[in-house]
This record gives sequence, C-alpha cells and structure tokens, in this order.
Amino acid sequence: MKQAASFGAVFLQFRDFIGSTARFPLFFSSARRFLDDLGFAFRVLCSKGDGWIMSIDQATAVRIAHLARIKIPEADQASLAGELSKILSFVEQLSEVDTDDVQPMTSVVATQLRRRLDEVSDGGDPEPVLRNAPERAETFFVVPKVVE
Amino acid sequence: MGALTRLTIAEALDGLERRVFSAEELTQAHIDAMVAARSLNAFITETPEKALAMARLSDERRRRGEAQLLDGVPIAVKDLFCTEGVLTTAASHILDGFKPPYESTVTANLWRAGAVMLGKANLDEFAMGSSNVTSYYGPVVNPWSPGKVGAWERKLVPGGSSGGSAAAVAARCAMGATGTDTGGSIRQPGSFCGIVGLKPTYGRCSRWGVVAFASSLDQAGPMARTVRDTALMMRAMAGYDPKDSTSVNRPVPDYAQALTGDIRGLRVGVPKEYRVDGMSAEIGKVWDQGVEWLRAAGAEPVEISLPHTKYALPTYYIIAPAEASSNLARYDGVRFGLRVDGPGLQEMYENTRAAGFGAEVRRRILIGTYVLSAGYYDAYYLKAQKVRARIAEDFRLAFERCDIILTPTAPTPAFAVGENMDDPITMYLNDVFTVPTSLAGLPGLSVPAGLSGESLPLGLQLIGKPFDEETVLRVGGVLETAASFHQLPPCVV
Repeated sequence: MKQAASFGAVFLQFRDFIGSTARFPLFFSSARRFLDDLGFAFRVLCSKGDGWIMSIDQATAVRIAHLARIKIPEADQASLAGELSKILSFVEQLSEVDTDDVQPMTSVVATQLRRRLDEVSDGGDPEPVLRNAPERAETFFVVPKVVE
Repeated sequence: MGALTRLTIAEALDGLERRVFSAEELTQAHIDAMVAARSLNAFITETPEKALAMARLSDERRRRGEAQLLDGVPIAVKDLFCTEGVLTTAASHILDGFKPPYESTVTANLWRAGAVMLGKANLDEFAMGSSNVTSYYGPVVNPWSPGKVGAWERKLVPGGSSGGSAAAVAARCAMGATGTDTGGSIRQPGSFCGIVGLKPTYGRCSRWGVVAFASSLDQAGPMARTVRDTALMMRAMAGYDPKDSTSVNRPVPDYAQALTGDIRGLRVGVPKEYRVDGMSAEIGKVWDQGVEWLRAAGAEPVEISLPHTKYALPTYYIIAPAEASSNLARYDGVRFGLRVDGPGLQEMYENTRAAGFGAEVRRRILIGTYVLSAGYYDAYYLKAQKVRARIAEDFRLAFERCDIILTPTAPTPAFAVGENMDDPITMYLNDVFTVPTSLAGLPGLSVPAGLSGESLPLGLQLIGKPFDEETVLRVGGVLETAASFHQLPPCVV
C-alpha cells in the first residue's frame, strides 16, 4: 500500500504537469481527462478489492464536479463531499445481495429495439431549432472561443 | 359556478353532452378556481386565454356532433411535458424562457381527445423530489393544509414530484392532470393530496417530449379525483408512438369498461416485507382495512414475499442519478435556456450548470457521474442493474401466486414544509413502497382510502402485472367504493 501511495503521488504530479501545460490545450485537455480517469481507477484499486468506497474526499468531489461541468464554490466543497459520502454509504448495502448468476436488467419490457428506415422524416428547418438559443449568428449557435 | 368545479370528469362529460353547460363555462369556472387558489403555487404558468380558445373549439365540435373522449375537460399539465410555444421549465432555472417548438406525444393525444389546457403545473426540479420543495418556482402547498387559503396554520407538502398536479386536482382547480412517475412521483402526491394517480406499465405512454429524468424508469400517467376519471384520461394518453423507442405497440383498451366492480376470486397479494420500520400505525390500519374491503368484495388475500424490497431504494439511488447525469448533460447553455458566460467554453458550461441547477439536482448529477465514472461502473451501476433484475424477479414470482398486490402508497401522510429536509436519505424513504414497482416497470395505482387522525388523506397502492392496468383499475374502483372517500380539503369547503 505504501508503494502504491507514493506511486500515486508521482502520478498526480505528472497529471498536474500535463494539465498545466498551456500549449496545445485541446490535446492536453483530453490527455488530462484520460489520466484523471486512470488515476481515479488507480485509487479504487488501492482502496478496496471490490471497488466500494464509502466516503468521498473533497478532492474527489471537486473532480466529479468538474467531470459533470458544475462549478462548486470552494466554501461548499467539504459539505458536498459529506453529502455524497452519505448517499454512497446508503447504497453500499447492495454489496450484500448475491448477484453472481444474474444478468443486469437493461430494459423493463423484454422487447427488441425497433429499427426504422434510414430516411429523413423531419428537419431542414433551422428557425425553430435556433429560436431558443441564448446566442446565435445566422443559422449557428454561438459559443465562447474554443480554439486560439 | 362553484358547482362546476365539484364535478367529476365523467359527470362533466355528461353535462356537456346534455348541454347543461358549455365547455367555455366549465373552463371559466376552473380558471376562476385556479386564480382564487394561487397561494397554493400549484401552477408555474397559467394559460387562461389558450384554455378558453380550446374550450370554444370544443363547444363547436360538440355542436357539430364531433365531440371526442375528453372534449371540453379542463386539465393541468405537469410542467415536465413540452407544450408547443408555451413556457416549459421542468421547475428549473436552467430552462429559463424555453418555449418548445414541439408538443409532447401524451399532451398531443390529450388535445386530440378534446381536453383543455389550464396551465403548467409546478413540480420538483426535473421531477427530483418527494415534496415539491426543490422547485425553482417555490414549494407547492398541500390543499389539505389546515387553515384558510393564503392564511395557512401550517403548510404541508403536496408530495412530489407531481405536487402541483396533485394540488390543482385536489383543490378543484383542474378536473385532472398529467403526472410523471420515476420512483413514485404520481402515486405519492396522489396519496398526500387525497386523489387517484396511475403510473402505467413502462412503455404504455410515450415518453417523447417529456423532459427526461431517468429514461428506464420515467412514465407518464393520469391524476384525477376518481378511478373512472383516471381510466378515461388513461385511454386518451396511452398508445404506441414510433418516436419513443421503448413505446409498446399494443392496442389501448377502453379502461372505463374494466370498472365492473366484480373482483370475486381474485387473489390479492399482501407483501410481508412492506411492514417497514417507521411506517405510521394509521397507515398499517388503513392497509388492513383495505385487505378486508377486498375480501368482503369476494377477493382472496394471500401473503406474498418480495424479499429484495429493502434493496429497492439503494438500487434506485444508483440507477436514477446515473441516468439523470447522462440526460441532464444536454443543459449546457448553448441551445436553449439559461447561459452564464465565462472566459471560455468550459467555464461557460460550469457557470451555467452551477447557476441553473438546484442543490438536489446537482447532488444527483454528481452521484450519477461518480457511479458511472471509470473504475466505479461495475461496482455501482452494473451491480444496481443486477439487483434490479432480482427485484423484478421477486414480482414475477409473486404474480404466480396472486393477481394483484395491495400495499400502502407512502409510509406517512403529508408532512410539513421544512420537515425531512436536512438529510436527503430521510426524504428518499418516502418512496419506499413506490420505487420497487418503478424498478420492475409495473403499473401502480394510488387510491385515497381514508383520513389520518390529523385529517390528512392516506392512500393505498395497487400493483398489477405488466400491461394489466384494467385489473388495477377494476380493483381500484372496488377500493374506492368501499372507502367512500368524499371529504374535501379544508380550503375547498
């Protein structure tokens, strides 16, 4: 575990270095996301064999919030981590259920998804689509600048 | 005009057909009631002009002899259904100003059947809640709250998430309402407000045009004051829709025909696991009474076991947030609704979503994001889907021994605004009897069965086999007759 933890620290430094690289932001932002996921999975492996984690620390809460693209003010981060931990410890009881030979339920009604003909049935009318846009130009949605 | 708002849908249709009153008069009476009951906060948007225009068209149709199933019946629409050109908010700040360019299939079906739209009913934000306190537009007051309109002695919650729909119907502002139910959102507010609410089998009503919460659970359904009215609305709302990939293609029965009152020989399952800790003694009594009523009508009660019941809530609180986190990813400030600017695109997303979502919605998105993230998917989401299969199997096995299941709808009557709010888990426990049905996709009906010691409505729930809404409604009709629940909320008396 100790070795794992020191590897983890090096890993996080590496990740932050990549994350702070300002050049080629698009490439590095996806690389950073990949490393985030990797680091996350790594911490799971370090924590417990079956992947159940009963509490979320503040750093993890912030990371999840970033994945969900929701800004959480610093003052709220600790209490949020506490709330999420509470919910996770509530759902933890599922580990008691024997599900060894059970297929996961992916649909309520046992039907096959229908197929339809691959043809246009609607569309070609940008006006109604754009009518609710916070900002538009001609027939485009406008967003803040993405590429320098 | 007061008398018109006391009618059931069936009585109103009869009065309209015999020309005792017009759809315009009926609609005006309900608009007046809606305005008089504004302190309930049951509506986010009132649409009186639209309602009167629809009512006049209805009167013309009836004159021409072309009246449809619900022609001239004024109803409320939960503000989770997209309505063309009419503000649709899902009770969230993030949908500010959103006027859909399309109409949901279920509401389109209702308008085709001649129903009249009074307005868009308040709800928990994105239908996430059990007390209607998470709405950006403020909480709804339960019409059963003691005191007078606007001068309540104590404000009680109407339940949720379809709290505005339930309050509007109970307060006689609307003859019926649409609701949606993901884990109990039609049945629990129905119970809290003393009205009938039906969550149909998953796939029976189209989800197209309904703001998505948890797509494998969401189902639209009717809320009304009698079982017959619920059956009438259900017939209009249900049906196959190619635009919803999980919509089921089978004929829609005439549900009102199923209300024969004859339940002789029917086996009524009573699940022993539903005697949970924390259930009020009054609820237990009403439940026992319900079993006796059905026995007296010739049904045969049988004890059944649903062994995985206690795992339903934790399963639900993985699956529903997981699906919600995915569904709510579309609110990004680009195409509709609120935008809060930032220096770059990522900051714009983060600012918009921080400002646009309330605390409970944020919490669920984050839990959902967490359980779906790399390294956790198998431990949480896949595990929950497996337990969900176990829960569904419990019901399948139970239905080998019985034809219908009778349980309470909620473990308590309506509570006060502010109670159960400190801890999300306490609030989640409200749905302990309704969530298993949702996970299994089965039809569930809540019928008002009595009053608590504090004169608050208590509901009983009937759970049926897949697509057997007819048996559910038939037994519901028998319960309704036996319970003879005709009390009015204090604000209506």
